[in-house]
Amino acid sequence: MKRMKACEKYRQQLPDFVRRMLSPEEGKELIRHLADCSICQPVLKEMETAFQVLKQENEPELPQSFWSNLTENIGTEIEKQQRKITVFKPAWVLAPAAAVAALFLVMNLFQIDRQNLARKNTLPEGSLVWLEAQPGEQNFDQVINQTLADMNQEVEKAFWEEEDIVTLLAELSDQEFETLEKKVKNEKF
Amino acid sequence: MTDCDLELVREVQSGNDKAFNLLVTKYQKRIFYLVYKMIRNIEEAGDLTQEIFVKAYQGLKNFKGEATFSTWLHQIAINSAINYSSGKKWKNLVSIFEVKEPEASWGNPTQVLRQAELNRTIDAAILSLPPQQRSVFILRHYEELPYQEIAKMTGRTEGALKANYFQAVKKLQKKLGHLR
Repeated sequence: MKRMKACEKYRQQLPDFVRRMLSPEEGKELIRHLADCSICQPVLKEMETAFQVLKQENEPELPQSFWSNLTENIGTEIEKQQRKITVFKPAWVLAPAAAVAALFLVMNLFQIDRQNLARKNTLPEGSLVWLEAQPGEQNFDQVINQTLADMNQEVEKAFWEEEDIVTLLAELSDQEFETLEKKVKNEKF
Repeated sequence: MTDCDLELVREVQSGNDKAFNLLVTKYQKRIFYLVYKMIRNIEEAGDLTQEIFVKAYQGLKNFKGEATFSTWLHQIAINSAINYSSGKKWKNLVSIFEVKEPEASWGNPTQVLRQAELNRTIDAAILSLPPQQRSVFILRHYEELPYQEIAKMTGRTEGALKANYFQAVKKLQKKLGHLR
């Protein structure tokens, strides 16, 4: 059994031994084993035969044009790959796309419906009205300016409606007060 | 890796694609013959060599230099050839039409025919080996690489590689022994 184990170890070294690829120490050890082992000797002989046949094999000799074509084809394939990479660059494509999408979203979300704003008193205080864009309204600046003007008007109206008369009179200058007083005195009720 | 390879790799990584052409010129013959010995077909070995270099180019940005460029490239080549062979088992039967043409020769026609027949038998014998075993045989027998290097390329232990090599030679011996 011990002998068999040793044979297995040495047999695995036989191909390298035939091709002189063992270290000098390994070679010497194997030769000592072979001199003594009638089982491994015929295996070595058969292996030598196989390697002699393999030695006779011809490697295909290819013309220089084959190699230059191969180099060229590899270059072309790599260029194709590079073009693919250049065309699809997520960082370059996605950043502007995301910016455009965000702008579009903001324009749509913040476009205020003027009609609803005019009716804002019907809604609870603090309500926000998010409505779809008005069809046909292309100029965003125009819409915003008009909306702001409407809002100012609404706010001014509400201010004058709700302001206490005493507070308003207190804010008038002496000259304004006198003018108002004269107007009120001349007024016939 | 030689310093020269490492320098070229760094050049490619920093965007100089011309440096990769130099690596192609340096290694294309070696890789072609390695693949050819695995699949035994000149045209397909050429196509596969192209694929291997394209894969190498794409993977080079992640190459950190832990192994040499040569080992890394051989690893890609061996894996590609094994995948190719595993996917085309039926092709391993060498057709008479696929056998390489004998080189033009002014020698004895009988001798030329005998050589062609010998090459065909060797092709068939090598293709009959399982792809993994075949790759170990090719790397050790033709490339004469140390087991340590083959272990890095294949991810197997040196003991397993020695056993694989021995088994491959035993199988070839059975198929080729009568030719001597």
